[in-house]
Amino acid sequence: MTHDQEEALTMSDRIAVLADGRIEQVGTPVQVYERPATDFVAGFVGTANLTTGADSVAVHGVDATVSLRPERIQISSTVAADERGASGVVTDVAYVGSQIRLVVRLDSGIDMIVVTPNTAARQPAATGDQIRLAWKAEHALRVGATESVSTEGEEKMNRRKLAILVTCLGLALASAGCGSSGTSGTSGAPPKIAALDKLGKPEGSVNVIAWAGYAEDGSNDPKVDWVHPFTKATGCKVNVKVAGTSDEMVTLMKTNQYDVVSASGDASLRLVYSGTVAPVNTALVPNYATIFPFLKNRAWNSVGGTAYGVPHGWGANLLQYNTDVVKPAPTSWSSVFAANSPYKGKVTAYDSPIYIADAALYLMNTNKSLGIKNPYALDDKQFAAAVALLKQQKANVGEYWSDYTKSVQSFESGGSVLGTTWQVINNLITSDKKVKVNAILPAEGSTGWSDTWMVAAKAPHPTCAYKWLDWIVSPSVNAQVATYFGEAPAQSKACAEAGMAAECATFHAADKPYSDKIWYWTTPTVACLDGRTDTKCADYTKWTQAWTDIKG
Amino acid sequence: MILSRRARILLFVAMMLGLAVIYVPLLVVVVNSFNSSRTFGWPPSGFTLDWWARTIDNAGMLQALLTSVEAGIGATAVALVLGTMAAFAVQRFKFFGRDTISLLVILPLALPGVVTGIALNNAFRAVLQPFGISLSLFTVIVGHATFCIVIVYNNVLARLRRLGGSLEEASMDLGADVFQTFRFVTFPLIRTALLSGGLLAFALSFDEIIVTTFTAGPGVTTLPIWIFSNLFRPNQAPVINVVAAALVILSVLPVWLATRVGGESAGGRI
Amino acid sequence: MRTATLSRVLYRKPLLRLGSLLSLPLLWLVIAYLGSLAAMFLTAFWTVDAFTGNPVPGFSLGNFGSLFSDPTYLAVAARSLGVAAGVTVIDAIIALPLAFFMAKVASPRAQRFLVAAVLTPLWASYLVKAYAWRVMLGGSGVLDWMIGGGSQSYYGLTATTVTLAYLWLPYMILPVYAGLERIPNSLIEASSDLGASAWRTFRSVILPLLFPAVVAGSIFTFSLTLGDYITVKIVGGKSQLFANVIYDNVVTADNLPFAAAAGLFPVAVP
Repeated sequence: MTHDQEEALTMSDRIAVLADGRIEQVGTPVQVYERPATDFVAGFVGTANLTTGADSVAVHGVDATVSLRPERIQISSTVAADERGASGVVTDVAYVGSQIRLVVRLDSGIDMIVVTPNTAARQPAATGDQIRLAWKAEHALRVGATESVSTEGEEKMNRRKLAILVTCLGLALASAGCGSSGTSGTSGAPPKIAALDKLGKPEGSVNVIAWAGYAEDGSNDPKVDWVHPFTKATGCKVNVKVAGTSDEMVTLMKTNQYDVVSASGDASLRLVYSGTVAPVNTALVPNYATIFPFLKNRAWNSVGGTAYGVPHGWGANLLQYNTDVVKPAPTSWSSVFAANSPYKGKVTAYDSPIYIADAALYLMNTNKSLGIKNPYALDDKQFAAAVALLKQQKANVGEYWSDYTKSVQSFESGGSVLGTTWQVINNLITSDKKVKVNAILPAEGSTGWSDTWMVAAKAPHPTCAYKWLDWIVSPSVNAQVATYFGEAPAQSKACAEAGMAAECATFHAADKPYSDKIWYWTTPTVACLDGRTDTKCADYTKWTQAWTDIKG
Repeated sequence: MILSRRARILLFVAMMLGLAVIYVPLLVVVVNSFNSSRTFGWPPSGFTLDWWARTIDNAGMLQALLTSVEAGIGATAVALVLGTMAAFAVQRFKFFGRDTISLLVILPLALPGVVTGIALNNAFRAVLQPFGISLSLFTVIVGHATFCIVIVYNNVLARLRRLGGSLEEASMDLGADVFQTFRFVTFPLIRTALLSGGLLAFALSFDEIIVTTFTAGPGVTTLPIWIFSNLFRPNQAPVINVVAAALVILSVLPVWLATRVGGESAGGRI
Repeated sequence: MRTATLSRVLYRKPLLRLGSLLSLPLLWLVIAYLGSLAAMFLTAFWTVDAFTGNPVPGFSLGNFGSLFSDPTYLAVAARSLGVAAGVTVIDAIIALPLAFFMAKVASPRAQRFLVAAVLTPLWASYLVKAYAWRVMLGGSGVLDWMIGGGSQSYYGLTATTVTLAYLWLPYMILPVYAGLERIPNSLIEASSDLGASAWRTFRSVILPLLFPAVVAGSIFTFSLTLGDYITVKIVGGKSQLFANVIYDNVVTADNLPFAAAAGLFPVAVP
């Protein structure tokens, strides 16, 4: 067995040439070389000028596969009676020592390899020379035709069928995948979904979507853990998915895999109207009774007096400034919206479509002719004015922020000196002591968030979900969350917990007048939230597209 | 090409500059893991080992690390099998649509992660959910494997191209069957290509965040997702610098291993 | 001996062999992946119910209309292409000499070390690296600190381009390095024997042979850039890229149809 051809020809008595497991030819070395049975053998053993079909007709005058060994061709201007001849141009000359190898392009366009012994110590021809070739007709060997041509075609057909079949499957699946998205009416009322009427046996687990810091299980800081005590108390294991934005929460909730979500006001109504969350039976949440009354049944957590969730905590979007740089101290949002700000390039703003409401709130106070009543209910004219204000503001903005790590760093490095912030960011910067900052609630009031725990309409674990709702607003846990996250607790009894008095004062937890100055994030809808029925308002999709437009 | 002394020095300088570009930011990461500021300010406001101590017994991080390793191994395994199969088909056969396969394989990596992520998320929810399969670690593995296939495919294809088919033919001539040939001849020859391809695929899966965001189910937190959420958690940001610094140090071993077996070059130095 | 029978059958029927090799990868890529993509792009023709945010099946070109008529989207698209091109050029300029030194100048031991050195940063989290650049480029950051500027920050498109170029650099170096390794030294020697200078050899012999590898690397850097929405948020100051438009629409606005329409852009570009 060998792959070395010279070895095979020298050593063997009989040679079998195999291809694809099939014997192509069996014979003596001479037979195999001189009388190849198939074109494979002719091409495989040694070198051969193989021609087929029309080429064979042109060169050899027969319509068959013909093999002609290069060393049997002579350079000769005369053609004897038993010879065939052809003329052509030399396209390549290779000096191989004992031999000289030529490539000749025949007049018929076919390339022939010619090998001549190096007997004359001179080149028989040079590239570009016109020469004539001659060979004995008996050396042009007809090779037995193989059946491979026809089978090749058949295989191709089969493969094409296979390919077509696979494509169809893909399309069928694709269209099946498209047909499953829910359709629901465009009416103004949320779909009717019944609240849970009584608790059952805990299901053993609950899937939670939460803001970072809302459902801590000690894995980030062993001292901060209110998840394990919950599991211990109720037997419900908690799977937490931390979401970075309200919008991510909505997307995640729509997968129907989660039980509860800590939705901000810019997500809650979207969840309600899409039928993703169910009303909450507050009777099943004992701790609901002592929640600050001014947080209950508000526009962002209820529809038509039906509670869709349990308030969790809230905070305002404050105006923060570097006290060393920004003088005099600002008292109004005009400092971030003014056209000719002395702090050009060092103003920062929140990077979300909901920030359009901040501009609307400012316009509500400064441009009364626009008639804005609610910064989340903007008709076309009001909306355009808010967007124009933000485009003007962009010239002064150094960068937008969406996570507070970025915001803290931006202030500490001096990149930003003035802009919207959260209480927790202010606390972090103050404790780092790198720069001096102050955060105020400006005269116009401000936007803010109020988070609500909501239960999925198709909650896989409803009892555990209600247990979680009650747990998270229980006085001690609500106090822990508020402290860790940096916001005002919703539970009135939380402020009575040890060490919470100062915390509640900082965040104005019980301060209803302070809370009233805040316009909490609410999802803008086509139906105006301020009760106007004679016009249509810009919905959140429009807000998003406008935000893209503002950032440019 | 005999490089002149000057050319060699120039190349050396260019390489050192390149390495500096690669390593200066990593140095900043390492320095920051000892920075007492909670939000990586510069220059560091003080030296502390506190973050390292906190990270070491951070159960969430360890759990996320484990999840990432699981996802990486799962995705790499699938990619190894599928990538190798596709590479063999393309390299050893001629068939209709062969060039399309190469394009198809590279598509998941060539298309932006957002697009892949959204498409898979959409499809998983529409197709798998009715069968009771919800987003989970499994879907993360499916998502990652999809774009990891091309890494293995490219590695194996290049190796097969270099090998040619004669060794396999010889094996079969000597009487080995298809499976024996693969086991005793082909596999040992492509083993190093599989290893280096697999490691790169693992690294790719390990650090992926965009597709993961869209395919991870409840409770499935890979390390990048954990890092992402901790960036936005009070008092946790520096811990992620520690994790990154530790990963860089830990990664030296597998990377070094991969390059040791990474295979022979056609050239070598000149 | 069932495997022997199977082996024989497989051996006799190359079509079956090909089929079994291709079936799994094709099932995965065509059905799981292309199917998902097709399903998503079909939704590009849908609309969104204004109140519930649920997609409504139908056929409307409205999404494409608003994409093409709004100059903002066109500007963002052009900007994204510019950044992607910038990233690719920067990476190519850094990667070529570095990979050349690795493949052709360094000793085999140094070569292994260098490959490891280039691969290591892949393991440090993407987010951590992006934040490291934020620290470097920020007001009173490393850069500012080194050149003694007045606590000025350098965020913006240039910062984004540089950071992305840094993040994707290994994806350019590796293919180029692999490509260089494949070039036999005999060709380079032949060129210099024929009197070509080092530069001439590089330009006329190496570069043309290396072109496919550079293209492969460019596909990575280009598409990774077009798919990234996180880096620009970290170091981009107030600018945005096209992936942000897609992400904002699918996640922020929950407008999958519009996002799908927008997603066709980065898909169509390469």
